[in-house]
Amino acid sequence: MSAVTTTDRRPRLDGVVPLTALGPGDTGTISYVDPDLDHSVQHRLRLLGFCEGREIAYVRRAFWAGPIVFRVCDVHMCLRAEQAAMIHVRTGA
Amino acid sequence: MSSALSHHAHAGSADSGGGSPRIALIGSPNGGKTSVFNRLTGLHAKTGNYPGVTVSRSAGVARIGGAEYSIEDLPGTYSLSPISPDERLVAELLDGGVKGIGAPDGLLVVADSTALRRSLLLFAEVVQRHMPTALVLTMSDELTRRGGSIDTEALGRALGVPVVTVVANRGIGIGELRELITGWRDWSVPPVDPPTDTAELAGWVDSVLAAGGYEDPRADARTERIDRVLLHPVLGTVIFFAVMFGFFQAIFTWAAPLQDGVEDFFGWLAGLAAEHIGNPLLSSFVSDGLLGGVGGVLVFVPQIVMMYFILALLDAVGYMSRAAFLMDRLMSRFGLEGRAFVAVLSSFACAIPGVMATRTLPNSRDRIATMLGVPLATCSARLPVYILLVGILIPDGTRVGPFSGRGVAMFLLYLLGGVSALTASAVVKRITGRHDGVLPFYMEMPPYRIPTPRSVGIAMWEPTKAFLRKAGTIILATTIAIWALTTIPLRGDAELAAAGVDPGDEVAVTAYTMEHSAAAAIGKAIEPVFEPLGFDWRIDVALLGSLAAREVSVSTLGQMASALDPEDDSEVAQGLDGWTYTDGPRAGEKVFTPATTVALLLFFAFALQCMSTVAIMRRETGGWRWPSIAFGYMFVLAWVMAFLGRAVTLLIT
Repeated sequence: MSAVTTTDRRPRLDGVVPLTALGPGDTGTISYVDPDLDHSVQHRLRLLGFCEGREIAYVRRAFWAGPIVFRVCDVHMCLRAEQAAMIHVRTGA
Repeated sequence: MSSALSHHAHAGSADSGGGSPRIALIGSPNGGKTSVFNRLTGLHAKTGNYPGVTVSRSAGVARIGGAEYSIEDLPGTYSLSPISPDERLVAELLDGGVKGIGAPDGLLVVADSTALRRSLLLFAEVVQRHMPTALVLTMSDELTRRGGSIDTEALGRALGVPVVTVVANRGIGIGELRELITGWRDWSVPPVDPPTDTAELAGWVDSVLAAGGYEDPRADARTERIDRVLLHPVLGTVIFFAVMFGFFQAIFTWAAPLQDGVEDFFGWLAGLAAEHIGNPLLSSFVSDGLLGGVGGVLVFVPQIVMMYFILALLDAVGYMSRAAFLMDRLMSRFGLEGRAFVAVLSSFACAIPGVMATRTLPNSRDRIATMLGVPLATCSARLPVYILLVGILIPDGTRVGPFSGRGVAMFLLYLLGGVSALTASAVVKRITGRHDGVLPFYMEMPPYRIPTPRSVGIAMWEPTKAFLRKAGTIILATTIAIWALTTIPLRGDAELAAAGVDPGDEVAVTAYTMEHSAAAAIGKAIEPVFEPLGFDWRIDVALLGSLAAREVSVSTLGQMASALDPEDDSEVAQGLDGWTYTDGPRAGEKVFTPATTVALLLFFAFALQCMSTVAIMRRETGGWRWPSIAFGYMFVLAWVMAFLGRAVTLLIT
């Protein structure tokens, strides 16, 4: 739920979008992890490589709206859309 | 130093390590930690559970230059800041807060060198604990292959701890690592802490890696190419199902001749024993109890070995995480995650590997939920029972459209097994999850790798050994107990003659002995419980027999039905067809009516009639609580389903 409100608060205008807004092949720079998220979960996402300032690429999504694979810190890591929506990236555009 | 030594003595009293220094391996899953551990301990690891939790523990001893070092392989983790009760265990263990284990003396961080920008984040958390620490870089061959590089010494200087490079799978660098361990007292605690604010950590990692001359590896082109096919929405799905088909083909069709061979061999041995041992009780014990039990264990071995070989290969290559990725969405519908798929899949061969496979799940709620669900999957020990009962229920030649009626029934039973396993897991997950927050799902997709025969061998041998040890002893003990209950006391010729049984007619003697055995008394005692399902005491004895392994009930029924060959389905079916209730209000009526047969089928589909599964659950959960709950709920479920099945069948026939 908070993903939606956060997206509303920070519209796409400034080029910062949740990871789920990217498509296969898109890249961006991680801007922030949703501050409303439980602190331990924020911390974990950062230690998985989803730190502010890191380059990230959307690789692919499993069929039937399954989890999404991202390339970050030279590693392929997959997240479900719920968590990916908590991570916001600044896109090149 | 003296304080450290007294600390050892304290920890050693409760642990096998004695007074030897204790080194803990810390690293992310898939980072090569287990290979390093195996190399160090030479496969003499002890696996068990941490006290009071369902987290499995492996610890071993490394002998280096005459001295012994206790090596503890901590559960794979990306962070020391726990987000689940299981992960809290690792943090507590490092603080010495886990009873009977004691804090380690040195920490060895195992990091994948192709993922250093990520792995050093965990390292930063570890050094903040101010314990002697060293860093092991794994997969350096892959780093080179992908065009990356690192200056190990420079990195060591930048981090302030010793660093060694290994390729654990091929044994490269292990000598240096062993030498490093002997000098654990000199491992340094870096003078300056990395930043504690995680938002600044990435910058710290970048500066350290720059000082270490780190060149990032290129994206693995091979992996990209393979993933484009294996994870393709259409092609990937087709390949996934082809792999699953191959898996089932291998464990059921290709393992079958070997299993028949094992069966024939033990049949032959039992025949020899019966022939050559004079004492009738001893002869019966050796041929039916002992050889029957050992054969009953070994008959599963070809299938289990085949299954573990395929699973180990798929995992070592990197396909298992892809399969989990593809199945995650489906599994999430049942409250589980993609990785639980492997456990469910294995359970179609046997619930024991299924229960053991739950170890790969990162949180205990998922593990318990999966563990309580998977025994419902149609395991291969149910197959002979289903074949017998479906054969009785559905006449040969029945057709449903273009398919054989028996085939359709078998398919429906398999479907029932899969659906009920997942549904049960979903229900358990919901019940146990009331107090917990939602944990995030994340999973690393390792590059495709060409496994070494050694690593696949280890990965398949370890669980096979565990299966043989645990299931083996339970199946053997239960078989012997059931043999004793059905055979003792042996009847003398005089008694047989008085009862009108020809002592020369082996089949009749077996039937008579069984009818007057302790098992029969138990069967008759529990008859009221199963009476509403239409089971008579002889079926109850077979249910008792199935506690060793479900398929045993077929031969138990066969023996009581005086079948000449109690292993032969059609003969057993013929014998059962003639059964009538021996007493009670239904005396004289046929036992194996469609209603009773359906009830028995459903009872076998749902009941946890398998002591080995119960035992393995106890081991994995570290207590009797969950196996008792599993046995209880499945018994009730089986009874109710059998009752409903009987009622419905009575209505429509």
